[in-house]
Amino acid sequence: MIKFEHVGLRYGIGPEVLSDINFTLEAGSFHFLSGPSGAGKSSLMSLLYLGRRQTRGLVTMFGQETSVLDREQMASFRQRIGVVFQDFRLLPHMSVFDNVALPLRILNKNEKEIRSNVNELLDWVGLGDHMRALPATLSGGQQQRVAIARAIVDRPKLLLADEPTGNLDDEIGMRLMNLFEQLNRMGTTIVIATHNHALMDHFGHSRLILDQGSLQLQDSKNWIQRKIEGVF
Amino acid sequence: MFNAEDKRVGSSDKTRQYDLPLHQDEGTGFLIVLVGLMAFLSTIVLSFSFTLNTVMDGWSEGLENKITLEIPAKIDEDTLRSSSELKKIQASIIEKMSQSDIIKTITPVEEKKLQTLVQSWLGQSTFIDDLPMPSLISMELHESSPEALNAISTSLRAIDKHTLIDTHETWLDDLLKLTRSMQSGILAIVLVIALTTVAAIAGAMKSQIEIHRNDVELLHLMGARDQYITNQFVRHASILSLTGAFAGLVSALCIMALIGFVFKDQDYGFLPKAAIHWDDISVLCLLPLIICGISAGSARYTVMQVLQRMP
Repeated sequence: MIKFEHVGLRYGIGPEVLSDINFTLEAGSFHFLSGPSGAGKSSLMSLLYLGRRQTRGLVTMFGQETSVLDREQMASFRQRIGVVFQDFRLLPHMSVFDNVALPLRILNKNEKEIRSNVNELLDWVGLGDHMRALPATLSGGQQQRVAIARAIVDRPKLLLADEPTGNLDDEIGMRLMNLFEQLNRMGTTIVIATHNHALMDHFGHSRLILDQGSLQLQDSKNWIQRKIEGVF
Repeated sequence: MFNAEDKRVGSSDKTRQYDLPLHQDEGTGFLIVLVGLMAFLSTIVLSFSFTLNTVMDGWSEGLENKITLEIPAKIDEDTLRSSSELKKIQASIIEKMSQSDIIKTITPVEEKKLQTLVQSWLGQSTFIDDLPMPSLISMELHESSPEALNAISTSLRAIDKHTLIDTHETWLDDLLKLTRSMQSGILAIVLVIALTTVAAIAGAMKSQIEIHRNDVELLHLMGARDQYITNQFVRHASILSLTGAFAGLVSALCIMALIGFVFKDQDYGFLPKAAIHWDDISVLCLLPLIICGISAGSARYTVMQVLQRMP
């Protein structure tokens, strides 16, 4: 589903922030993306959500090499990807409902379907009573849940989340991770960037470890199993 | 499922205005004023052009198939004919011409009216009485053809060889040329106004994209096509320009009505009554839609150009 071959990324004429990245993510797989601050996680995420184009190498997504996509195709590809940004990027002038409904409105879904989906999802993430609120009136954790609801409302084929549980208490964090698991079981490929080792240990999915712009490990085996084998 | 309060705050697409908060930008009011000013100026200059058209039509229609015979008082440097002599020649010409079937009407221009016409150029002056005023005869022909004019000329020479035929063509042509030049100038002004509006809208759109760059990028990342985002800017520009243009039009029409009211009793002698027809006013009323169309086109082109440079 996603294949990176010798991918590099640099900003302007600066040094490469990502160099020679190679990995493959199968459809319906679940991955954690980890690494120290400044390792290039956000840059790699931006390549995954097609926010940037690589400066070298090949990125293949949904069976097509992305550098040849025109703007129309790019939009279609992005519609299959849900993103939870670390800073949420909610639209501050819109209500919680409208923020979550936005991806469906972009797809020109009918309003009845939008109401039904958004209402159900907001209830599920515990924000059913806040759908009329503006984002600025919500706590960090609540805003994060809105961002997550917005990312998954359209049942994306690929879900990317940057520290999705960072501002949430353990209970809500676990509920959301269980939601990601559910989505994954329904066929959504999931990549979660996180520093939370406990979380990664608990769910045991494979890890992409980045360090200084290079991929140190693409661990496709069960993390706990690897740990038992004494790799780390 | 949703109550009225939900809809009020934007959970229904009926109340949701924009994905981008364009209507909250500070430049919105300025753009309305600017477009309003453009509409005001366009309305004024176009009204002037329409008035010139009316005046030109008045001149052309008023002089169609009409000629004026001038019996000069002064024949040469030394000979000045008396008023009674002129009246005698005038009567002879009218008597002779009345029998011609190429002439529809023949009317002597009274001395008093002649003085009024001269006063339009020279003002009220006692010297007018001392001027060697010619005697004039106004004639309307069934058809103003060269043959008809030749026949009249032959008849006139038999009565008074000094009498002149004025077909008004020379000065009417000059006036029409002048007014057409003025209309070309007006067209150029309207063109400049339109280009200024295009430039102002383009600048405003670029600035708004810059202000909302993060949100525009976010919409792109969610899969919004350029057209989807552009439509929001176009709708915004259309609403602003329609509002401004309508205000400008109403202001200009009010000013023109006031001018019309103040000068309604003024008489400028040789000038036909200046007026704007209802047809012209209905064209002016289309101005906000035209400006709105220009703004929408400018906004669409500009936004699409900028968006295509974004990732």
